[in-house]
Amino acid sequence: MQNSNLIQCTQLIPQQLPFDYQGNALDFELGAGEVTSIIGPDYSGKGHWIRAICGLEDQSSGDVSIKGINTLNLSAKDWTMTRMKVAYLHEDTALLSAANGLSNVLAPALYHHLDKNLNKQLLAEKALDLLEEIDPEINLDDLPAYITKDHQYKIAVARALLLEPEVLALNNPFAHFNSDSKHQFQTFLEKQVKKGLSLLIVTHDIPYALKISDKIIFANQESVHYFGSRQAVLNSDMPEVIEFINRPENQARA
Amino acid sequence: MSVTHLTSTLTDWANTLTGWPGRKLINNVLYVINLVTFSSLALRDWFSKNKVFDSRSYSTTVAQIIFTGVDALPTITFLGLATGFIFTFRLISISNTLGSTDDIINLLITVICLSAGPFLAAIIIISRTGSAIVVDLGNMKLHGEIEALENMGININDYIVAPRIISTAISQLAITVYFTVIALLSGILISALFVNPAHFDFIFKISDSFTPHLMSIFIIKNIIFGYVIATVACYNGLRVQGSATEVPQRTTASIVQSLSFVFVIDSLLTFAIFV
Repeated sequence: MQNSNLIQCTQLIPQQLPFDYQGNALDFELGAGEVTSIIGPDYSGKGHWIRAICGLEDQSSGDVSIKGINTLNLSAKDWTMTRMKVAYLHEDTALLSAANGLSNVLAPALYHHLDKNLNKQLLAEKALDLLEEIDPEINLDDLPAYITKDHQYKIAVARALLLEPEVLALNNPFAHFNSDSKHQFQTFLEKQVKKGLSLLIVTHDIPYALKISDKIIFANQESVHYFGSRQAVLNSDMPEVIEFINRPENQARA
Repeated sequence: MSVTHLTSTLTDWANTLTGWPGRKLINNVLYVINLVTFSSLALRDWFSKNKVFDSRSYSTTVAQIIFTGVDALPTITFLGLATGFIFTFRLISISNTLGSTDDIINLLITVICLSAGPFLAAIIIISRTGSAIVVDLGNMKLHGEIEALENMGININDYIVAPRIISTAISQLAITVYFTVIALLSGILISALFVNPAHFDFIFKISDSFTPHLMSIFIIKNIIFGYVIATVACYNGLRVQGSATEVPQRTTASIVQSLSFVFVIDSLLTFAIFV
């Protein structure tokens, strides 16, 4: 039977957590069009959790399946498929330094022969439309060294989205944004979710995470907790969750 | 210090000293195996997914050929002219004292076409292309560009390594052909103009004497040189981990290793062909 979950984790514990983790394992499913946020205090290994969920980091226990395919011992073909279906970006995801903005967006799509169905001209137009939607002010003619960090990140997102992934996994995506560009980018993400994209996001912006997420994973150095809804987080009686949510910096600003 | 302890220490030193060449040899053999495996995997991925020049890596291949081959032409032209004047012209102009015309032609083919040409081209490619590949890949690795490509399902062997190996091998061959032609023609023309117009015939005599057997040696030698230089450069570039200081260290290592490999391969081929 075809598994409807895009990502399914059972008894998952990442292998490379930078501390001695003795807590529980994570059981988690991500369906189409769902938004899941991973939140928690600093240095709680959230980046390792998202990488393990995406199949990019080995697990010390458990299994991860992407579109029904176990990520252990993937064939080269399955590796390519999983990486195209689950796009992972961290805050400093690098662009090709020798290519300008537009070439950066097009390069992976051309590598994966997406121009077979859509010729190169149409693919370029699609890339330009996507970039226009993310931020019309991005300078696409310059090399990455001459592009601001937030624009570099937006180009990286466009590059990933041009591959038509089903899951966009973002690790600390707002790190380089000022408040205006952050709001603009968040609006863009919400539009993509409405179109059916699943979002897996590690963020320090707790009000935003609570606002957009269908499911929430709370991780700290002792344990990991999975909540099936944002209300479940707000109603949680776990002291570490209550303490974290109630921190002044995690409260919604007026 | 007791006698037993002293004996034990001396035995350890002796073992260390006598074991050093063995360990060095094993390390070098393992390094060669690593390189062969690395390049074989890269070419396997290239040929399993690509037509010879697939669109996905076409631009990388062409750019590398332009950098390695076309951009090096001024330097190669200068070296070819110098070699023509120093070797070809001198050998032809003293041909009467050296022996028969056939001897001179054999000497020119052996020295210019099969030895100096490939060797000088290899040195140019090691210093220009080899070092550039290490710096390029080292910086890509350092800045996370390689990781980002892999995270998008791009096979680095197919997209980055194989195009560089293949285009460097092609460029080495092309550069040597160009160098050899310039070195022979310039020497013969100078000799014909300033010593004896009959020396112009050397052009046709050398062409006639360049048998398919010699031609195949010429081609194989150059392709091996280019292949090895690019493999060593890519391997060293991708071994950079997290520190910027590794890039110049790897570049130096790549240049030294490439030069050593070219010397060893040249010696082995010369021994295999001519002895």
